[in-house]
Amino acid sequence: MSDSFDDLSSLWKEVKNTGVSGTRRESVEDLISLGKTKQKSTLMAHIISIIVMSLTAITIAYFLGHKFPYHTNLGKFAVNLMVGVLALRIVIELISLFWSRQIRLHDTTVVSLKKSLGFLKFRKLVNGPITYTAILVYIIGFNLLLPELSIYLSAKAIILLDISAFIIVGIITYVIAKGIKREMVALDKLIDIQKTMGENL
Amino acid sequence: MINNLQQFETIYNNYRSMVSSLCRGFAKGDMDLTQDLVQDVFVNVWSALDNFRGESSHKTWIYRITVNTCLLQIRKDKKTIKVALDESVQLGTEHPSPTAAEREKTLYKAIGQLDDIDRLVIIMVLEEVSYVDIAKVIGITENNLRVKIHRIKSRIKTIINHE
Repeated sequence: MSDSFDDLSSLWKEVKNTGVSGTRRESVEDLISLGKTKQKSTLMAHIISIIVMSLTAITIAYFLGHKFPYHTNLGKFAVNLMVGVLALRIVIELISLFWSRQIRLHDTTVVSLKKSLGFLKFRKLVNGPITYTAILVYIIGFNLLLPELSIYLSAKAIILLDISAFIIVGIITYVIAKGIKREMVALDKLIDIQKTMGENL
Repeated sequence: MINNLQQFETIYNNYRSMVSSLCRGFAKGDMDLTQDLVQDVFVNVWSALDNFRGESSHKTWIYRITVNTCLLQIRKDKKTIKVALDESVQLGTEHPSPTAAEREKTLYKAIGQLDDIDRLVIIMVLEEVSYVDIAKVIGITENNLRVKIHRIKSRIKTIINHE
């Protein structure tokens, strides 16, 4: 066994000095600039989601709750349902942001892997069942608004509203499904790495 | 901020070669991927610099970031690391005069068949990092690391003999 490893060791030493020195050398300033951009973009992705959902919730609460308040119990319930679902999703996004910032690459591999796996499993739950349930509840809320809305709008306008809502939901579902697929590939690979670590110990 | 800049510049100059070697081994000699990984590692080093408390040496700290960056790069849409496995691995056998490129190919074919984490561990062993430091990087006890390295070496022997 030592012979094989000694051969590998001498080959490593031989190969090591070829190529590495020829790799492109980044300027320190460029690396720092990239680092700052990366920090901002990671944070911004979460913040933009939170802002969009907050604005939607505020708009719904303002227009449907105060400006043009719904008078029927069903209508009031529907508005609260839609705003409630968005509020819940905002809280989840904040938890997700907090969790993602707990993954520190300077931790040991075991710790970093454990945190990354926990985060990806949480994302799987959030992007899968929780988001699909939220969309379903949102659709139910929207449809509960329609009886009272039909007092003010024509049947044609209601149908158009319904169709456009389903198209938007379809697009959102497709984008979410695509994102989930990518994250699940990463999750599976990380699970494999963790298994390898466990099996070898 | 100025201190951070100076500290980062020193780290980059002192550890670039060390990081490149580990990344290159992990990338199985793929230089494009090596470049990307090295860049990612130092971007991550910069981002984590404020968190360096001196509880471990710079070397251990940077190795941790390098290992974790390599393992977690699978979360990105980067190309999959592939190595051609259709040819035999013939370490330690007599070659008339193998070129440097052939020797390199042979090396990466041998370690390229190991799992990601095992490949990173064995590269650190080949880099002559102490077992104490590797254990600190991975986060396992030194005894467990010895068992792990023994198994990786057995696997390498199997790979080399089997081909």
